[in-house]
Amino acid sequence: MQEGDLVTAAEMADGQQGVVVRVDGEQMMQDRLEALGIRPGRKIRKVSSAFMKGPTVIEVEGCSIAVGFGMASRIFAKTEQTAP
Amino acid sequence: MKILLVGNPNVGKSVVFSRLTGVHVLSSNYPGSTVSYTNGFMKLGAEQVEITDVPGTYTLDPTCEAEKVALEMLGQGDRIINVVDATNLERNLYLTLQLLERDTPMVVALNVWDDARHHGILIDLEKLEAALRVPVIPTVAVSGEGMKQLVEALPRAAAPRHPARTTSERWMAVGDIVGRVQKVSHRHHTWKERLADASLRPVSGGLIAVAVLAGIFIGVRYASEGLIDRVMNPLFQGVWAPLVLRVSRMLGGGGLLHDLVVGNITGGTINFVESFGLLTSGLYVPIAMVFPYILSFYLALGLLEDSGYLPRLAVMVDTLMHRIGLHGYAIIPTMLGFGCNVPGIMATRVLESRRERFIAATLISIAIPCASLQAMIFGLVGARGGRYVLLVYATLLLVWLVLGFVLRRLMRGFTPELLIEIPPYRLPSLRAIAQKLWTRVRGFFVEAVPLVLGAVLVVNLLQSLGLFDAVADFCAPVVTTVLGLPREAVIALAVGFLRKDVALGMMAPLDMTAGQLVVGSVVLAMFFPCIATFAVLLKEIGPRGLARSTGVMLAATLVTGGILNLLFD
Repeated sequence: MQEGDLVTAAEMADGQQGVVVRVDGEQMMQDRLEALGIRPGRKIRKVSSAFMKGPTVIEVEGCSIAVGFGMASRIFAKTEQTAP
Repeated sequence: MKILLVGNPNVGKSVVFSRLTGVHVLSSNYPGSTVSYTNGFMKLGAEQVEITDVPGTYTLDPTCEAEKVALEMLGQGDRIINVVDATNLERNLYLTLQLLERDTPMVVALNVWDDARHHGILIDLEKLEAALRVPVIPTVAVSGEGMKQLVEALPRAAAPRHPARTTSERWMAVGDIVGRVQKVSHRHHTWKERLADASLRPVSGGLIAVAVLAGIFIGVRYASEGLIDRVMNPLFQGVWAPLVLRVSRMLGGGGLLHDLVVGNITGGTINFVESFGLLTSGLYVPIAMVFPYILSFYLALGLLEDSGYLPRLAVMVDTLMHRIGLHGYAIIPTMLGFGCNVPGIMATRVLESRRERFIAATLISIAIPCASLQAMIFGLVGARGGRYVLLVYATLLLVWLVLGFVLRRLMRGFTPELLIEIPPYRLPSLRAIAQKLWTRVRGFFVEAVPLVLGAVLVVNLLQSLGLFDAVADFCAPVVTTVLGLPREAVIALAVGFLRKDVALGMMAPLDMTAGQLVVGSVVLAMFFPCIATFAVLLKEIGPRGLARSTGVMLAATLVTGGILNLLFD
């Protein structure tokens, strides 16, 4: 296993896992995401994303959360990748 | 003494509430099914204590109307039962710690305890109690497990007054506690989780959404029509009609009293839709025509609510809903609106901004026909051909989209992004479904049926006094020219303020063309909400909001009805 690049939750591939590194944006939004368990240090798995900048669904601690595309683009995660 | 049930959304507070008080409140498998508080009573020793089911909240820093309600309630409780989802300890404990910084004595109900065990989550209760310094009781509210112990623990409720922490300190503390008390063993993905993923992916999820919605529409229609043809009609024609004819003879076959009670009977046979007496249309419309739709729609809705599918539907329609100034979660109030607009509009409290709530409530009251009206549309318009029914629905869908698009442009502000928790799929429990269906059906019989009878009585009285003619003459120019409806339809439209099903029933004897019936149905659906919807709109969006909403409604109705009329000409 080798640590991959920093990608946003919106960019992650379906099924890909990663660890949240930082969440950008207003404090209010960060608080709401945090209340749902999305904050730095947490392991997440991308479940799906919709067409046309629709919501992204991520799984954190066995719980699925749907977040809008804009928010998903501000959640940065370090992904796990297998070495080439 | 006053006890508050507090916790994250969708952890089962309402189920605990029903268990403790015996009062059945509607509970569903999605966050935000309780938007206002409910009170009930329970015996605690010799004392009668009041229990309040508070809307779910993730934090004590509120982000929407329902959460504000929750925060306001907190000051009024003497004891708190903090309901915690054992399968999601970490996220739930954040609120628990916030509550423990206040000074209300508290106990923790560790709910969904059975699921946690099935998921391989082991929680050390003693360590958790030691860390929180309040009693912790494992419960399974749906089966009643642990409820007795929970009640017994109430006198031991404690207020340890944890030191005030900042957000990050609190999360650190949560992480620390979870690390010490919880062990998670590895587990495999179940079939329910695979289905959960499939219903969220764009292609498979879209297909599932279309299949579910079409399935409900078709299923409800066939189940209801079957019930009407096989049960209701034979009952009314075979058993009830001879009795009514006897009453008709007893009343002398004519006169004011006869017309009020039995209605207009010609040639010794009863036309249950058109005769318009209390014992004929007054009972036939709500019981034989509308009730089958209420029953089958709410059965389907109950299954949908408890399965956990609705939040997934919200994700699938989110992109579309943003085009009309809402986000995906607004689909849940909209779906409720198809049963009755009143709970639909109340459910808009889960939406974050006033702007969204106004748009959602206005769209529901204008473009979403309730089950009673839909039943009559299927019954009366459907008799002229299925394509006319489809035309009514297509028109209302178009109105919903266009009006939403216009409102989004007209109203300042922006639509917040979707941010929701998606609950796991659960197989709905038969008992819970039956209980919920019973609550809603009873509501229909207690509230709607008397109103239908009242509407029939009032209409007959006013008609015999000739009062309607003045109203009809006043409004007739608009109705006959713009909408192309007969002059008498004015009275039906006015009655729509009381009950829309009765109103459409009044159009039955008017010898209208299929086109006129389509216009009449669409106008009834859009034009002035019934009195109950009107009251709830006033409460939810205020007098100014209601005035604006009514303006939008009048304009939209005249434009849509006018265009339809021109198309049929």
